[in-house]
Amino acid sequence: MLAGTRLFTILLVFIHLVMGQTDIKLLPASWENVEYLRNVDVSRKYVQERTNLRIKNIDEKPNDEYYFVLREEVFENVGLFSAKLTKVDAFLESAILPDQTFAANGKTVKVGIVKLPSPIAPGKETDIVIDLVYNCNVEPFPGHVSLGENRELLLSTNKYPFSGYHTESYSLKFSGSSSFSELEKPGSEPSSCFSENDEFNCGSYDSLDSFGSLTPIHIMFEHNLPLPRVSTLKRDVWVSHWASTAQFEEYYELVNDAAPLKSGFSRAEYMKDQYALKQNGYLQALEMALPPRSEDHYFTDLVGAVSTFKFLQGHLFLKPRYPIFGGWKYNFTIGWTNELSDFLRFDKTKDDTYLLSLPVLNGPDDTFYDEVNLSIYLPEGAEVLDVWCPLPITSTAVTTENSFFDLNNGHTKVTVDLKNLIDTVSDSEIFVSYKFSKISLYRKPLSIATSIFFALMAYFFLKQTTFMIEH
Amino acid sequence: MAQNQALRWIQLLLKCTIFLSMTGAAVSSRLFSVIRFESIIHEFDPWFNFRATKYLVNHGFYKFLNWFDDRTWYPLGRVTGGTLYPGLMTTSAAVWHGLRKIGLPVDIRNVCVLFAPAFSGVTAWATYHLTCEIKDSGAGLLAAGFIAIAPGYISRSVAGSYDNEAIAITLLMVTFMFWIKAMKTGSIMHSTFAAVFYFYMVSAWGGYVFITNLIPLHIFLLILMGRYSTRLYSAYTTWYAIGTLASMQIPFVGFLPIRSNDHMAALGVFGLMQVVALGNFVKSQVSWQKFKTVMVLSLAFLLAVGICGLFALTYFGYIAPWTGRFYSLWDTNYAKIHIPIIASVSEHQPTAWPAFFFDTQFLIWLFPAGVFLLFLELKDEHVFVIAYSVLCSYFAGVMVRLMLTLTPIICVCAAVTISKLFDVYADFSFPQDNAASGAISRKTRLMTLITKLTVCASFLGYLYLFVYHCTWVTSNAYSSPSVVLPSRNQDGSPALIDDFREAYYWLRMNTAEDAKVASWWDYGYQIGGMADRTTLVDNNTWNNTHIAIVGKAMSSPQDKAYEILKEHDVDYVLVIFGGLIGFSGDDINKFLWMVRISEGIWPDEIKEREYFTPSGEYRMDAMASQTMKDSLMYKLSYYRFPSVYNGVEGMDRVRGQRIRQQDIGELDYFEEVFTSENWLVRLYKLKELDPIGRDLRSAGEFDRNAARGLKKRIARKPALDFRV
Repeated sequence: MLAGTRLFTILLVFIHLVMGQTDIKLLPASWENVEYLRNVDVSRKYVQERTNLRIKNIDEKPNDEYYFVLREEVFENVGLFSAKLTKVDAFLESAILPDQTFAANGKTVKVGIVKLPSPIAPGKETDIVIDLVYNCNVEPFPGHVSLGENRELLLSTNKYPFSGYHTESYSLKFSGSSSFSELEKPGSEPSSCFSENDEFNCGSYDSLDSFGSLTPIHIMFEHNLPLPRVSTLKRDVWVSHWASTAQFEEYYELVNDAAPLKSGFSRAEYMKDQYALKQNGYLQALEMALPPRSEDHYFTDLVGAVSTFKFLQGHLFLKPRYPIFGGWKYNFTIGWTNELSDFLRFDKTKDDTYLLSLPVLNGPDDTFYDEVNLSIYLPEGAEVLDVWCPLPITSTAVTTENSFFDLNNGHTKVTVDLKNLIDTVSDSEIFVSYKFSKISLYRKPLSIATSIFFALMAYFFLKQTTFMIEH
Repeated sequence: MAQNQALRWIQLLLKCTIFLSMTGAAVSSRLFSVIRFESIIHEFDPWFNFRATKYLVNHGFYKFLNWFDDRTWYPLGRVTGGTLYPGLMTTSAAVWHGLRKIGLPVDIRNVCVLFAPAFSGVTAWATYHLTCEIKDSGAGLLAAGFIAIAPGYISRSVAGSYDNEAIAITLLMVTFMFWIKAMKTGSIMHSTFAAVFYFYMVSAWGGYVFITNLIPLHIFLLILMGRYSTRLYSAYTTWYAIGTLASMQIPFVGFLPIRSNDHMAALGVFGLMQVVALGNFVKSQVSWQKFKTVMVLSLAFLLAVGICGLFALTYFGYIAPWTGRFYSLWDTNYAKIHIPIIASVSEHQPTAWPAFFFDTQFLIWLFPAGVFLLFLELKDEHVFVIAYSVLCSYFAGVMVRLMLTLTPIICVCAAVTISKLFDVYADFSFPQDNAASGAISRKTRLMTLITKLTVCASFLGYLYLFVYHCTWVTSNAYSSPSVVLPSRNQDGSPALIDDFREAYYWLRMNTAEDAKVASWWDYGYQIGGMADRTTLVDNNTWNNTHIAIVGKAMSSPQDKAYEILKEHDVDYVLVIFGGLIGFSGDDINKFLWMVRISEGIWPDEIKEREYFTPSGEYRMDAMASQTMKDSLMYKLSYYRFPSVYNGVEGMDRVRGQRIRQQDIGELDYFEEVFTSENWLVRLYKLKELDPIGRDLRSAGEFDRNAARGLKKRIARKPALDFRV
């Protein structure tokens, strides 16, 4: 079966190479969505879409692969794609094919594959849940606000399911805000939504074709919170065996995606109405959840140290130099030190082999990361055996970099690039196993001592020489 | 023999220990600001030096020399590579590269911050050697200890004060040290070293002219005293020839050494030297009578030709006349009348007398004593110290910043005095074999001992007080970065007022990369260094007119200012306002200089008188003159200020005056975009031109009327009556 899939994938790749885009019709339409419940949660910076599916195999043979179609703009900004079996609450093997693009109904789409634990016999049904998190299709509406005004966001998405299979019954709900309303724009259908409890119900529909109508729906909702997005995070971890520490340094390029101010920022108004005490679309402080037992915290930016930060109970509270309003940017660096033993294990089965496991993120809550560059600096002379991370890695590189007292090759540096992360993955870890011998450990002080010795000797001998003409 | 060897080793060990601890004291007392605040570049000029150093490190030496900076003096730009003294930047870049080579990749900022403290150790070493030549190594050690912690020198060399003076004083002392050695021995090697370090000094600081004039003066005095010798000849001619040729390699100096009046003394003495040498030769060949005639005639002829030549060359423009800064050295009122821009800098003001004591404590009264003691001996090298002392005492009285050049010689002279005192009074050995001259009575012995102990103890007490004073002054007066201000929270815990960086960082993060910022020139370097934005004028005040343009915009009404600023492509205007927290160094207090400088260029449009009240006061409240209330500076400083209070009146804490909302009026041409937490920095954006072609005032008026009229129109519905 697996071989068959591979063959099929190779075929797809081949066709992709020949035609550029593959017609989606090539994918077998072996399923039917008996029930398609779409629940869109907008309470956070990014959109969390949960799809409860009851699927039925309408093929003649048992099938175990379900294809979930994503619009390309969603794929570009997708933070999470995961699937679960409803009954047993177990994660399923799932992935988006990153290199293959398909064309469906005039749109470019990507396909995510969900692999069921066992093939489903023809005519049988099963329930799965697909979670999709992405950071697009939401924008401030209208474009500008004044200081204390309520912030509204506009979410534009497709009203009907965009699935590769026929859908028997479908419903769409929105949740996560105190007030919803539908905005009618040219091209959208008349409003059919109503509020119900804390949700915004946009109706249910029966018998919808695969890749059916692309009718958009525009949902306006109140969201009086900042929308922090880290466009670049450079996270460096320095592992030192001599000091027995792991030093973290993170450089953030932060931007608030909330609505910009209508006119310039008036400090007078901000002071008079005490906006500093209120919560709204501006970002006044950041809370970083650091690993336990961290020490030596610092907070700087490109013009020097920022004195307004506090470390309380494992959390680092940062107050940026200025409140970050919609559209404003703020770049900064934070750092701290942890005991190495919190992250490092000695592999007893093999000689001189260590296993390092580090958290991927320690950033603020409710944040989206466009690009994350994670560098781990291992001691000079360490040899990387393996790097593993549960999140999709864009690229991995092992290089060396010279730092303080690196008189030989320099620190071994493992660089991992990640894209589109969300704050909730911060409990994921990256694992690096490496070999670091005792010889390498003692080589460092020895080479420093030798250099100093030679320098002193050179000075001594130079002192001995005379340039006098007469004696 | 063995004992001698051991003694020498102990001496060496002691000397090394003393030098190490002296360097330690010098460096650590300069670290107050790093410990109290952070590793940060201070004040204004250092920010430019820092920025230039970063450019040098990133782009290399040749690109640096050819650097045309289009991010300052918009739209003129500045030929930065050709108008700066590259010594400081190249040295720190060399240190940076050197440290990288030995496996220490230190951040360039830290190299720059710790540059001055590190070099203060070298200064102490050079002062030691200089004083050794003047007196002996005992005085040398004292002088080195003094210069290491004297506040007069620390004021310009604390950590973070990354200025030309940081390295220049070191080079000054090294050059003088080699010069003294050279003129004492006539050694060509030493005078070459003096010339090389002179070159280094030329590359580092404009104050090199001091050396250029002091060494010739020394020689001239020696010749007048009839102390000409071949040693002097070889030392001076070597130094002058190599030093002058070398100094001409610096792009900013170029042909100045042969074309500017500042350098003519050195050339003249060089010529005189040849004449005197020739005369000496002739004297040894012919009789005294004949020689006298030849001498008188030739001297008269040479003087006449020299002076006429100098005048003629200056007149025809081959030699540049003296610079304004030079004139203001002789006439303290010169700058105030002719070049307000020089007078507007506080460090160009005459020194207040207490400053001498503040900066050197008890050294200041030992200094004349030292000069007197040197007079008693009056060796060739003592003439140098005396000339230096006299010249610099005058200069230091004229300009505050020249206190810096006086401090080293104060340290040397005071060290000579104290060491002389200790030579006499700390000698507790009594002549053993004085049986012949009659036994000295026990009483005399006791009295001598008591006298000696008293003198020693009191001077040790003075020394202790000196160290205490130096530490106190350094910690309290000279260790503030002036970018960050210390303050207290409401609960009394220490806090920092970080408004400057807040606003600069906002500019850097949230404006277009090519945005142009207009501000008074004081903040130009900081905007360039911290906000990384293009400025109109900065602290390199090379173009008076350009500065006057900004001054004129600030002193004009907003529509006129808008026009001026728009013509210069300005996007943002930055003003410093201290009224909310009582920061007295703000733009309103500097405003009169803006008015004066622009009045110098446009006397018809800007008149200083109009900015005062009829009774001649400088006020901001209801009594302020209309011109003042209309000026852009007034409006930008106080815009929305009363609304923090009750919306009608605001209390300006710097000037202690009430500012009325009705005086501020509306701001139609500018839009507030950012104000820092304590209102120290206020940023305004120039509004876009009106899309339907109205001028911005009428557009603003229209909007206000529309807002007001909305209410009125409802009320003022015409009552319609039927006409019957």
